[in-house]
Amino acid sequence: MKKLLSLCLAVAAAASLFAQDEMDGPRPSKESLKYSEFRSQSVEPTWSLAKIKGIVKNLKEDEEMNRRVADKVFNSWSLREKFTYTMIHGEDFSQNCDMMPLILDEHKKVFSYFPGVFGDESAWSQRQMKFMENNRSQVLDLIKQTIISKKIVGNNIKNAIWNLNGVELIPTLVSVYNKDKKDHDILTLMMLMMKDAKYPSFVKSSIYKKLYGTEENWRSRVMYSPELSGEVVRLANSFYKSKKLR
Amino acid sequence: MILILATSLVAPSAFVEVKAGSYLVGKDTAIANPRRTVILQGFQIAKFETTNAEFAKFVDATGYITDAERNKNAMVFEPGLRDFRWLQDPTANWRFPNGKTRGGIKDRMDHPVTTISYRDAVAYCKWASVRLPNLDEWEVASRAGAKGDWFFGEQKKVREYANIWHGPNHLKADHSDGYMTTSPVGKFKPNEWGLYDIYGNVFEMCSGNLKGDGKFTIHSRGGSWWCSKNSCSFFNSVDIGKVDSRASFSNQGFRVAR
Repeated sequence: MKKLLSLCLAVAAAASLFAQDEMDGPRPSKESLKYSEFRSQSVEPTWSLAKIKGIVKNLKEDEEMNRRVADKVFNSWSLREKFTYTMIHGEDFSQNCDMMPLILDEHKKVFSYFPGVFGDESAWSQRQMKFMENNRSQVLDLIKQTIISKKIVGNNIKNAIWNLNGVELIPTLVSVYNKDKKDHDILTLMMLMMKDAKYPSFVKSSIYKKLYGTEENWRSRVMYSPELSGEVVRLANSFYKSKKLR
Repeated sequence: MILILATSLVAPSAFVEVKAGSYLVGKDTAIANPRRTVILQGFQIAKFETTNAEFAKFVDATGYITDAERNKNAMVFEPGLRDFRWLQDPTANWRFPNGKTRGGIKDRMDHPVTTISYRDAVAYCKWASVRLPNLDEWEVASRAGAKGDWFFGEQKKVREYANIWHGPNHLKADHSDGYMTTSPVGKFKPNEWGLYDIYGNVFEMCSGNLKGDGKFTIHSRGGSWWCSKNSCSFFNSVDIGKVDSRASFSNQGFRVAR
C-alpha cells in the first residue's frame, strides 16, 4: 500500500512538473538564470561614455531627487552625448514593478514582452522620449551602430527601438538574431512592432493569439522552437517589405 | 474651509484586529515572496486606505509639505499612454493627484490619498501615532486566512472586490466599474476580515526590505486602479511592488497599522 502511495505521489509530482513552468521544487538551471539576467541588461554606447557616466552617478545619489541634468546642460550636449545619456539613464521614476516569477528554462521561452527599460529603477522622461522622437532617424542610426559594435541588442536598445517603432532596423535585428538564435527578446521586439501596427498576417497568426490574446498579459510566453522563430522572422521580413523601407 | 467640511463627512478609520500567531504567506514560485510560515505579534490594521480627508487633517495641523509639492516631480497618468508609461507633472501633488488640469480632490475627500511619497506616508503615521504595516503583516491581513493568490479564490471575481483597470490597455479611458482612477474607499466588497480595497484602488506602501534592495527602494502591495489583467495584474496577495522611496505616483497610497 505504501509503495502504491509513493508511486502515486511520484506520478503526481512528475505530472505537475510538466503542467507548469513556475513551481516549487526544481530550480532554474544556471543557463536559465544567466539568460534571465541577460534579458534585463543594457548596453552602453561609447560616445562620451566616461563623461556621461560621471554625471549620471551623481544624479542617482541626489537626496534632493534631482534625477535630471538642467535643460541648459542637456541642450549643450551633442546628439551623440544625449543619446549616450538617454541609453544609460532614466530621468523619471518607474512605477511599482515586481521581479518576474521564477521561470524554468527561461532561455527556451519566447515572451510577449521584454523587461522595461532600466528594470524597476527608472524610466525615460518626456524630455528623453522627445529627444528620441525628434531625432528619430539619427537615433536609429546610432542604435544600429551600437548593435553592430556590441554585437547584441541590449534591453535599453530594444525598448528604444520599440518606442520609435524602428521597423527600419528589422533586417539588422534578424541578422543579429540569426547568428545564434539565443536572444528571443529580439523576436519579441519584432512581434511588438507588428502588433502595434496591427499587421494583418501577424494578428491572424496562432502566435499572436498565444501571446497577445484577450487573456494574455506581460508575463505570457510560449516554448521556443525553430519553427516558431522561423515563422516570426518570416512575418517580420514580410512586414518590413510591406512598409517599403528598403 | 472646503477641506474641513469634507473631513467631517468621512468616518475615521476603523481597525481590524489580527491575532498573534503563525501564518502561511508567499507562493512557491515567487522569487521575492517564497512560500513560508511567519510568526507575527498581534496588530491592528485599518479597514480602509488612508483618505484625502485624513491626510488633510494632518496637513492642516502641521503645515506639512509633501515631496511632490516641494520637488514638483510627481508621476501622473492620462489615457493614451502606452502600458507602464507615466508622465511627470510639476503641478501634481496630493491635492491634484494627476495634475491641475486633470482636477483636484474637492469632491474626492473620501478617496485614498495619492501622489505622495514614502517619506510623506511615514510623516503622516508619526503624526497620527500609527505606522505602516510591514510586508508580512499586510499579506496576512490581505489573505484573511486564504492560501491562494486571492482572498476570494479566482481572479475572475476581482471585479466585485477591487477597483482596477478593465480595459485591454491604457490607450483609452476605462470607466467600466464606475471609476477611471481612484474610488471612494469602501465601495467594493471587503475581504473575510472586513478590510476594504486591499486589492486595487491604490498600491499600499509597506515597511520592510527585501534582499537586493537599493538605498531608496521601498515596497508597495495590492495593485491599484491602474492595474489590469493584461498589464501588471498585481491585485493579489503575492506580488510585491518596488518603487523609489522619493517617488510620488497617483496610484500610490497607504493603509495604516498599529
